[in-house]
Order: sequence, then structure tokens, then C-alpha cells
Amino acid sequence: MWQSYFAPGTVAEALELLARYGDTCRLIAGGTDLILEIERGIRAPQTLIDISRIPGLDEIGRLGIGDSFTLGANVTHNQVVASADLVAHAFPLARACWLVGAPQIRNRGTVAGNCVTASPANDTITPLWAMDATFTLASRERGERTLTCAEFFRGVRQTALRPEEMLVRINVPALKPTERGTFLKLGLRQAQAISVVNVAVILESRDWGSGNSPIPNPQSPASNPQFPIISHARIALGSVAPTIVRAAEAEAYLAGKELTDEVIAHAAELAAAAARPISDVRGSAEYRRDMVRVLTARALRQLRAGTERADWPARPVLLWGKANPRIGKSAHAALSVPNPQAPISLLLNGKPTTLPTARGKTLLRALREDAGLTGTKEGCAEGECGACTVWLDGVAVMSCLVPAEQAEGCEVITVEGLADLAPRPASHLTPQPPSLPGKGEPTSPPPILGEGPGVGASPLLAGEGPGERSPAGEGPEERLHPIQRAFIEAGAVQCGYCTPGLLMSAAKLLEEIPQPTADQVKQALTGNLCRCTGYYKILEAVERTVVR
Amino acid sequence: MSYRTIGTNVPRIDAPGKVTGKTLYPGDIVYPNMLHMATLFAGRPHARIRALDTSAAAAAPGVVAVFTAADVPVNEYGLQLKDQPVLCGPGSNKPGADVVRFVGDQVALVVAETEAQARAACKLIRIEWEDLPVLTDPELAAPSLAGGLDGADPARPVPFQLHPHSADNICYGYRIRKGDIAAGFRAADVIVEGVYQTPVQEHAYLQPEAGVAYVDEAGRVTVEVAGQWAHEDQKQIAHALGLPLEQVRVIYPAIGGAFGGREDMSVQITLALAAWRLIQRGIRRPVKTIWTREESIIGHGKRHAMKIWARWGARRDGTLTAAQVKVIADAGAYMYTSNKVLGNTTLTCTGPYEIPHVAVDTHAVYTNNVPGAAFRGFGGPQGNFAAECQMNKLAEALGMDPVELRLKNVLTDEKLLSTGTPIPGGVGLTQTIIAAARAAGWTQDEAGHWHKPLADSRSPIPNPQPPIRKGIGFACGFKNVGFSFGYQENSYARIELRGDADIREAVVYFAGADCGQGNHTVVVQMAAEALGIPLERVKLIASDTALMGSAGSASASRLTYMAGNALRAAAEKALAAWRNEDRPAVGEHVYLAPKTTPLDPETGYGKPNFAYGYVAQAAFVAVDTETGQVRVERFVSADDVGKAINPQQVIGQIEGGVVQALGYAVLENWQAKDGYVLTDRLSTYLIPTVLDVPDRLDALIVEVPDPNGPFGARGMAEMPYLPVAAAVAAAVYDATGVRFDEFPLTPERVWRGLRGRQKTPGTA
Repeated sequence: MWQSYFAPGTVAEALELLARYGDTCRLIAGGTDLILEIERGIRAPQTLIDISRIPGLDEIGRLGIGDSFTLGANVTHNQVVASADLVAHAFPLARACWLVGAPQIRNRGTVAGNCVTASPANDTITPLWAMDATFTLASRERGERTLTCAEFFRGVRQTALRPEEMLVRINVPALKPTERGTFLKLGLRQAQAISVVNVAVILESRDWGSGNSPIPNPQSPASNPQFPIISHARIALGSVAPTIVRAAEAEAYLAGKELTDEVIAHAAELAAAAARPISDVRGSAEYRRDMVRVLTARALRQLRAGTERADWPARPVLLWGKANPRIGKSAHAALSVPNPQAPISLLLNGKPTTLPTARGKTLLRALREDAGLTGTKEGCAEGECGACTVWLDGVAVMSCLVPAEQAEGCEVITVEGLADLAPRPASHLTPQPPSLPGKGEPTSPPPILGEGPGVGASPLLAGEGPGERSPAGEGPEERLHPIQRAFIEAGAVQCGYCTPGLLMSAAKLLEEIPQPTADQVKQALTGNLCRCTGYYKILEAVERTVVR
Repeated sequence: MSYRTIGTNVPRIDAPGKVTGKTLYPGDIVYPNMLHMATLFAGRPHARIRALDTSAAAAAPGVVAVFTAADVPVNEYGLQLKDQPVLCGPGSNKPGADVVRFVGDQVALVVAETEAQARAACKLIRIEWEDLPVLTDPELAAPSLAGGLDGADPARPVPFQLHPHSADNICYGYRIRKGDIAAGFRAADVIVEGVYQTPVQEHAYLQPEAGVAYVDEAGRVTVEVAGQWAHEDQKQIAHALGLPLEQVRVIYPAIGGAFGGREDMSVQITLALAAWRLIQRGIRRPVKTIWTREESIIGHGKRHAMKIWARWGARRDGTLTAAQVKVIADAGAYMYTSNKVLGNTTLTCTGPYEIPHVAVDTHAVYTNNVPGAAFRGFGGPQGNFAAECQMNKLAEALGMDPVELRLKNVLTDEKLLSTGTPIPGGVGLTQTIIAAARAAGWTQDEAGHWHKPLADSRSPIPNPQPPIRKGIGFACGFKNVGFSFGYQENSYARIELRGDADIREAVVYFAGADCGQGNHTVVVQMAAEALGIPLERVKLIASDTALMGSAGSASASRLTYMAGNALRAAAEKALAAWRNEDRPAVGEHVYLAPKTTPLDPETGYGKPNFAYGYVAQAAFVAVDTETGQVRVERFVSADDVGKAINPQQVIGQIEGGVVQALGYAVLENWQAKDGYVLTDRLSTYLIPTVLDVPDRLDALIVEVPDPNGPFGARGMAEMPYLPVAAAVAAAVYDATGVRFDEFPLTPERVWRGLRGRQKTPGTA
């Protein structure tokens, strides 16, 4: 793992560090890609430069109506999803962000990071490419430069970014009132799926945006156009070539055409012809090419009918509760001077805690190995299973993808702290904000249940009888969060290994949306795999806690 | 019969600890002064280790010890056949142990002060490899079996031998000859055939393999680990370490899922070996190991891939006359439980039907793939898929409703199994078929004929728009409770009653593993019922070989059945002692299940099992005919459980089993190439998320008492898994008119099928 860790407070400081450490260092923001690359030995940076504490980098800017949005380097997928402005005027990007990973990943992963990783299957690049986004890079020596997509993306996981450079913002031209766009993705399952193929399509028609959009009428004579006439089309294809590609022939063909079924079919064929896919574990080249055709045609039909937002949730589940979504805000200061020996200080389950030897490891390992909180589990170490879900500054995250240093000065809640958030009898009408648990309250050691030897017990001296199991496991003193109680009552616990992560996601949802719909409950749990229950009793447990 | 706690939804006794994060799984256990162990896996499918140099690893920072094959006292293990080296490499006392036969074979163990140091030092071990040719196709590994139903030829030579003990690379086989198969086909008006291929499946339990080992104060090598049969783990460890059984102790803390995948050894022997060898060097420190997900996926066995050829005949009225079936199962590199798995396939491949003329040949073949092992259903789902697809093809060929065809042929009390002996009584199959069919909307007319509901009448969208097509499929199944086939199933329980006039406390000692299925809760329920005391007075001490006898495995849907009978007898004895004024009053009992016999090697005649469980299901699917995506929208499962000890937990097993099997049927796509695993992560081996499960699952409990089961209960945890793939395949056929005799029904496979294309190029 990494040897030193900086958390500069300004872009200038970050650029200074980049200039100093060059290719022995790596910038980190959300960490969802970089931690994986480090764990798998793809990258071995000696120094991490954490830009997540730089003020302003997590802002979504708008230069003016009809102009561009700017996405700072720390803007997360969920911030895009939650931005009404981006949903309204950059829908393809918003929909791509919504379809990435799971809520915990969207809370950490940044759009800039998705671009810097530059995998052709990365979902946000496709809409950015279709929207003609540009990338502003900065370095100490040469100042800023701005590149187009074609200039920035150079190949599979290759960009024009130099070792001393930083991607400071992405400039995203807003869709015009006469434009409609969307993003479609084919994955191998309904959530947490890497794209087999994705497409972003943006169409412009003078028939749109002025309130006189004609209603399609297939019965009418063809001479009198019944479908919108397309003045301009932009189509980008993901996961079918070393970089995202534009379907130039399809775009040119569509210009000036009435969007009939035949035109859609032919444009989709042309898009498929632009794909240069490979075969891999997710699909063959042949299948991918045909799916480009299918998805392009579907996108064109949806845009023609104006139904591209039909499945956009009225209130997307974010799992940031009532917290400020900007991770790192609670940090008291930037950490410019790395001291490999310095302990990491944080507010852990309401208690000020210092972890002396937690540097250079993930938050998950720091919690388990240094803080002795083994309720948080490791199931995959790659952000797939969600068993490691905790709250970092009130936001649900997968702790296996968070460097422990990012928790410095922050508040972390684990499953062991969940019961302390339970409304107390006296105050159950005015529940405490869950992001401010139990501060100033006397803490008492939790009752120990008879489940095997405890931490620190010596096996060499331990007596017999390690495994007493009693039906009276929950003592009268035991205080539980309502969701914990509901899991017990609904039979939502089987092997229990996924349970802590599911509880943290579910409790965060209930804080964010106290009366969630069935679909919102499912969306909240998409980042948590369970292999025992089939999920039904877990959904029932969440439902039980909702006061209708 | 009215009960006090049996049949009630008692909350799980382990749930409070699990929801608060206090419950310790093996990887959560921390002891002072603990060392950490890392395992060097072969990473090659077939190779000889010519030389192995551990000096750099031994000298690396923090390293305390490095162990290789030369350090293993008796370098062999295996549940059914000791054909696997504990560690592969030169210097071993086991012939052939210098060869690795699959990527997950283990080569060396490094023990260090920290996990990071142990893992870093592993990479410093230098190995001189001699790569050997690789066999991954069972029909190439055992050419004598190739050629389908009629094409076997014993004269075809084996390319090369994978094990010293197996000249033909065939690791096990069964043969059934009932009646006269030729006469059976002559009597048939309709004959249908199929060649079915079922995939490998990964267990993907959420807790990767982990454990801690130490030598306890009594000098016992003690391993705290997640397994399925503590006493068998103990036996395997003792054998490999050359120790007497009583010098080995196995304790199970909480277990994070198993599904059969923890039946064979993973870290048990290696951890014990490390702790034992360290003590011999004067180092008295606990050793812990945790496998990564990738290590877990290559390191434990999988559901067997099978190829099944079937030819069945029936009269015009639907009466089955003959079934000829051949099965080739990929056993992978070692035996594991292939013989037991294949036995269940042998029974289930002709379905839960009485068929007068049966010829079945089943074979398990060694290859260089990850071993085939136990996985929920234990060979049953594979055989069931072929049998139920055959029945659905017959129903179509006969123009008969699939439910009606099944009811006409289904096993009922006293009917003969394919093995020539009557099925044990209390057969609830007819009831489950009727329950599932009615719940799914089937109707029976006045003449008694059954009619399928319209495909879309129960679906959320009544009239699907192209490209979506909807369909309904039906299937049923049965499976044995317990291993049996002549094995004497047994289980130990001990009850101590404390108190004066009244029983204040009952302490139950029971070794059965609660892998998540809820066994410990139902054990407490059954003990309270048998003793006639409130649940709260029962205390369970579980899963420690030093304190109790063997409960047998948490496998084969056997544990509730075996535990209940053992507890009832132990309770009776304890209560007798109580009445005799003994304090504490102790009752101890080893329950022996009814006798069974092995199958005759030539004819298959025999009484293989003492009890069975039954299930019938209906699947409602929507198929996107452009992308090939199959969405199971609704599912019905009716299960005869005999008696639901805890209905909430029973439904939990049905829901979990169905969803796991839906993953098998439509989603989980194990891929390997030349013996290398391509899907060794949860990001490449995809299991269902909450959005992938049917919107509605009707879990119906049917209770036809088992005559020998405790309180009438029969085993149930595997049965909901069995017919799922066949039901889904039938529904996809109903929706699209295309038969799929191979799965998983991934989008691309369905897309190809709908275009009449077959193989997927570029992938294995």
C-alpha cells in the first residue's frame, strides 16, 4: 500500500505535490477505482494526494443559461443524480450516473475519476462524449489546458493526462431547448453491472422545445411529416472499442431526416457498424454489435416519443441521509504535512478515537484491525457486496474502497453504533439527527452476547464451552435501532454476514426518506448482496419500520 | 397434535448478535500474540513441481515459518477418497503429490507477524514448474464414455492418466437396469430425446474461508473455522497430521453461509498443520488466516457441470413406459463428494415418477477443472433439469397439460423407485403439484383435465408489447433426505436438566452447524417441545468436538430430521432420569436413521434412502426478444416439508433456495478456459441483487407428515432449489417457442437461441 499521504487544501498545493512526486504519486478523490488498482497491483503509488478536502472542487457550476456546466474534480455520481439542473439539461449524464454501481459507490466515485480511469465500459464517458464535453487539466509549470474527448481519451485506460497534471474540471455543454438526449445501458444484471454495451444519443429537432411537438400519427400521409425532423444527431457508443466512439455515419444520416421507424432502423444499423467490439467474459463481439443496434433504436424511439425520462425516479435514493453530501467537509483542516507515524483521529460511533497504526490501509481494515470493530465485514474487497457499508460523515460508503486517512477528522458510524441512534423512549417523538449520534451522552459498554470467545480472550487459557447459544440472546437492557429489531422479527437474518451492511444501507434510507416506496427500498439495497434470503424478508423488515 | 413451540415463528436465537455486529465469524476472532498465515495457490491447472525454494520467503521481514508438502505428516485428504494432497510439491510421502491438478491446489503456507508480510513473502517462493497437458472436457478425459446414449466404447484409449489410482480417469459411476428398456420403448407411442448441459455454479457465500488455530490447554490442536460437519473436519485434520482423533478439536463460531461449499476442507488442515508445526518449534502462538474472495472462488469446489443424454417414452394416454439416461459429470481434479452427488443425480434424472423400464448410466470423470463438490441439491438439480425438460417435451408431444402429465405418473406411497424398491411413505408430491398449479392459476375442468393459465393473465402488464414475450413454465421434483445409499446416518444429542422441583434449565449439546439456515433455533424449539418446557429455559451448546458427539453434516437437508429424532430420544432419557431424581438429569442419544442399502452395481436395485422431500413450482417470465434478457416476474413454489417446525424459517429457505436457483438458471455464468478461472470475483461472477429477484414469490408450505420424521418433519432446504431451472426453461419456451436444453439463460445465450445460433465463440 501507499507510504505517504497528503491532503492539500488548495489546487495549487495539489499541483505543487504533483510536480514534486510525479509518477510515484497518484491523486485520489473517491478512491473507488484507485483502491482496486492498488489492491490488484495494477498501480503501486508510494504517495497518495487526496484532493477530496479541497474546497470548491465538489461544486457543480453553470456558466449561464444555454451554456456549459462545470463539474469540479470531486463531483460524485450521486451529486449529479441529485442535481435538478443536470437532470433537466444534461439528462444523458444524469442517467449514466444513476446506472453506475450502487448508492454507496455513487457516493464516492467521481465523474472525473471515472474519466481518468478511462475504461471504455465506464458509463459517464459515453454521455460526456456525446455532449462534446471538454476536460480542463492543470499543472504547476504549464497552467491550464482544455482538451476535447478525442484529445483526452487515448486508448483503453489511457488518457492525455501527464504525471504532473490534474483534471480540475469537466465542462459539459447543456442540452439546448430543442434537444433531447438519453443514455441506455445493457448490463448482465439489474444493478451493480458493468456495461456490456451503452449508448448516449442526443437529437435536435426544431419541432421540440417550442411546445408544438407533433403527435405521431402513423395513419397520416408521409408527405406531411408526422414525426420530428432531426436537424442534428449525436450518438456515442461505449464498451465497443478501445475508447468511446461516435457513430459518425449514423449521425450524418439522421441529419435532416424525419424520424420514421425505417429511419430509426437504418440509423441503428449504421451505429452498429461503427462498433469495433471485442469478445470477453461479458459478451461476444457479435452480440455487442447487435446490442448497439438494439439500444440505439430504443433510444431513438424513446426520444421521438419523449418518454426517455419515464423511468427516472421522482426522488432518487442517494443514501446520504440528511448529511451534507460533500465528503470531507467535517475535516477540520487540510493535512498538508504527512507524518507516517501520526495516528488517525476520528469520531467513531460517537466517541473520539485515535487509531495509531491505521495509515496505509483501507477504512475497512482500520475499523476491523485497529479499532477492533469486526461487525463491519469484508466479502469481496472490490465494492461489489456491500458487507463493509458504514457511514462516513453521514454518507453510506463501502469502507473497503476508502483509504483510512480519508476518515481523519470525520465521523464514522458502524453497525456497532447503530443501536445508539435508536430513538430513546423520552425523545422518540423528536428523533436525534442520526448524523449526530449520542454526543455528550454517557457511553456504557454494550452487553456481550454469548457468541464465541471475545476479542482479547486467550485461547490458551480459555475454558471449555465456547459456543453457548441461548434463546434469550437479546437481554432486557439491549437497545436496538428499529431496523435491527425489524430484521430480527421479520426473519431477515440467516447467515448474517451481509446483515451489518444491509442495516447500514436501510437505516440510512429511512433517515433520508422516512416513508420510502417499495422501489426506493430496493434501490437503497442494490449495493448489498445477500446469498441466503433471496431478499424478501429483508424488504419485509424495512417495510415493517415504515410508519404509514 | 398440538404443540407449544413447534410450528411457531420463534425469532432466531442468533439474530440479536448478528444485527448488532457482535457475533464473531472465524475472520473476526482475534487473540493476543496471533500470527497470520497466507497460502500459496498453484495458479496452474496441471503441472509438476520440480523444485521449490522457500529460502527468500523464510528470510523475508516478519516471516516466522514456511511450510511445504514435506512438512505434512500424512499428505492426503478427501471426504470420500483421500486423493488430494494437503500441499503439493516434492518431498512428500504421498505418491503423485508433486503434481498440481487444478489452479486451486495449495503449494505452501507462510506464517508471519502480519497478514501483509505473509502475503508478500508468498510471492518470494521460487517454483520450478513443469507444465503438463490439461484435460478440461470429461468426454476427452474419458473417451470410452463419449458418444451419447448408445455410443460408449471401452476400447477408446485415455489420453493420459490424471491420478495414479485411476487408469480410466473415471472417478465414480452408477448403473440402473429396471425392467426391459427395449420393451419399454416398443410400448411407447411417443419418444422424446434431449441432450442437456448444466453449468458450474459457485456458492458465493458472503463469508470467505477463514479460521484460527492454536494448541489448547489440553494439548489439542484446535481449529475455529466455518464448516458443515465439525467431527468430519476433526477426522480429516487428525488423519493428515497423523494424530489421534482426541488430540484434535474443531469449534465452529458463526458461519457466513455454506450451501455445501464448506463440506470439503479449505483452511482446516492447513491451519492445524501450521499451529502444530509451530508448537513443535517451540512457538506457542495462535495462527489466523483469511482467504480473499478470489482465493475462495478458486479454492473450494463447485456445483458439478453435467451433460445428460435422455430418451423417454410414453403411451398416448400419458403413461410413462421407459426412460434411458446417461450422465457425464465433471468431477474436476479430485473426488470430493462426487460419488454422493452422482448418486442423487442417478435417482433424480428419471424424475419423481414411476417408470416401468429404466436404464441409467452415470459417470463422474476427473479433469483439471476446479473440483465438483457439494452444492445445495447435491446433484439433484442437474438430474431434475433433464427429467423435467423431458416431461415438458412429452407433454407437448402428447398434447397434454404438463401438470396433468405429472399427476398421472407421479410417485405416491408404495410406488416403485427406479431402484426397484418402494419409496418410503408419506409422499406429498401430488399435493405440492396441485398446490403450485392452483396458485399459479391452473384450473381443472369437470372431466378432470388441467388447463394452463394464459401467459399474461397474472402478469403486471396484461398485454406485453413487442419485443417482450411472456410465458409460464411448470416443474416438480424430489430429493432424498440424508446421504445414505447404505451409509448409516446418525446424530448425537445430549440434554442435561438442572433444577430442583422444576426444570430450571435444560442444556442441549448438539454439534450441528448453523450455516445460516437456522438449525440452532429449531434445535432449541424441538428440545423445548420434547421436554415440555418454555423455550427460554433451553440453552444450546453447539459445534465443539471436545464437548459432544457427531451430529453429522449440515447437508443433504438432513439436520432438522436427524437432530429432532436425536433430541426427542435424548429428552425422553433425560426426563426419565429427572423422574429418577438425578440432578442434573442427563439424557444422551445417538439416533440411527432407518436402514438403507447401496445400489446393486449391475442393476441399481436397492433401498437408497429413508426419506424424501417434495416440491412443485411455476415460473412466470418475460423475455426481451431483442436483447435476450429473461426476467422472472413471478414464482410459485409449493414444498412438502412434512411439518414446518418454524414456518418463517421454512419460508426463508424456500425464498433463498429459489433465488439461488434463479441465479443458476438465468444469471450466474461461470467461465473457465483451459483450466483457468475467468470469473474469480464477485464483479465477474454475478449473483442476484435485490433488483434481480421476482417481484412476487409465493412460498407455499405443504405438510404431509413423514412417518419417521420428528413431529412429522422432513428435510426441506434443498428441494425448493431443484426444479427452478426446468420451470424457467419451460416458461421461456412458452414465451418464445425456443427450447433451451442448456443454461444459464444469459441474455446472449437466449439471443443466440432466438436466432437459431448455437455456440458462443471466444468463451469457454
